[in-house]
Amino acid sequence: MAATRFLPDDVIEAIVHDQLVDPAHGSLVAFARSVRSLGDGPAPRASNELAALLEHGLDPDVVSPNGSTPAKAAVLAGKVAGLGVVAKVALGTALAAAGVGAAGAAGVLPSTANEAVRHAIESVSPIEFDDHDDAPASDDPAPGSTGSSESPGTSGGAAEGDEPTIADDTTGADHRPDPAAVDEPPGQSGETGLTRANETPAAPHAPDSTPAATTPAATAPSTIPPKGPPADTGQGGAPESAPSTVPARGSRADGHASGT
Amino acid sequence: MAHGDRFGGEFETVLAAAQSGAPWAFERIFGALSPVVAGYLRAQGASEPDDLTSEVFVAVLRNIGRFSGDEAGFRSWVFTIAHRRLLDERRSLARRPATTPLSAALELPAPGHDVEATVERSLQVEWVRAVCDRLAPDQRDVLLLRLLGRLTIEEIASALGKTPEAVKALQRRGFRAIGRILDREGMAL
Repeated sequence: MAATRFLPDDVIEAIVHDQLVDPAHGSLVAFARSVRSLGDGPAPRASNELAALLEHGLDPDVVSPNGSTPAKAAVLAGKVAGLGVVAKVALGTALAAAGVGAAGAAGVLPSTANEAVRHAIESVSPIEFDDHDDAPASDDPAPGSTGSSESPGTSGGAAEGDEPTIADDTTGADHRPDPAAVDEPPGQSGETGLTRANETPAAPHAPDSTPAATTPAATAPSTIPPKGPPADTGQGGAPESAPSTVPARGSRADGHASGT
Repeated sequence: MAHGDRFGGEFETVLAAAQSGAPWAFERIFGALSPVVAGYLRAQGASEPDDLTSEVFVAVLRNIGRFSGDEAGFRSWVFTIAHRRLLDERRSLARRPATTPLSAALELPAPGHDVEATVERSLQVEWVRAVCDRLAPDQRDVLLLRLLGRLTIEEIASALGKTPEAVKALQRRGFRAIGRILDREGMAL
């Protein structure tokens, strides 16, 4: 009892480490040994999750957020890493070609690239697509934005000198502009909002000229240009996506070639 | 074998293999430490000590790649996880209606185990629990982590979020309380 009341720290440490102490502390020693013996039993039964972990190590079937399993991904990465340089290049090329081909077949590429993919597929396989039924003439790219001779449309599809004309029976042919009228680009026929305003009862209040352009095209003319193609606006006078002219029918190949 | 060495001096080898995901190393760690962890959880009155032990080791093995240190540090890490799981279980039970814990029933021996040894161990667990139940919770935590987990004062302080001085004081008061209970009230095994 008195031994319990005066229990120095060194005695406590001796009891904790199962060392010899004064017999007066026998009850504490017995308690400490009983507590320690609780850890001497057999391993408890493992839950299903733990049993799987103990049997297989780190779970190979844990699905990562991207849907792949880490173990399988590691095996695949290891296999790729083990390939030679040539094999890696070939694998990368094949994957890229497959991806572009699939995208082209799905029709999600831009029209020029789409056409190139179609040409490529047609040239290496017996597959033939319909006659470019989703490539209306009005989809021609803005001059200069495409049309490089390196574009797939000229290198993979049509043979050199084969002028790529568009058949009249294709979809969208009815909406194709009249070749005789293509000199006037859309929206530049000369009839503007100012012209129409001058024909209304409020004509006296209509301004004499259109306001200066507020778009990035700082060189936009402050007055309506005369009817016909702009003389010297170049490509800087209008946003790049807005064609300043519509190429004449049959000039499509020129457009592709002239961008070189 | 050194005091508290449960890996036969091969802890570094076992740890390296476990960190590379080797099942044999997982088995070795579970076999070495799960009886101690289960004993700690039983002495603390966990409602499902075996299930809780499994939860502890799932957490340990899944996160073992992050651990670095020696065997004593590993043991301390495992017991810290065990203690936190125990607190989680207590909080969870406090929110649910009271039920009769399965551990209140006599522990049935697993097939192939010694029935007599199983009964004797169950009685010992009950005795230790009866004594520890007389302690303040903090004193019980300190004494069980010290005696069963074999953690140092500093490791217990880290696990419980207390200062080493506070842990030392709890240990002193806990041992004195145990002495009074056993000597005056005669709670002998």
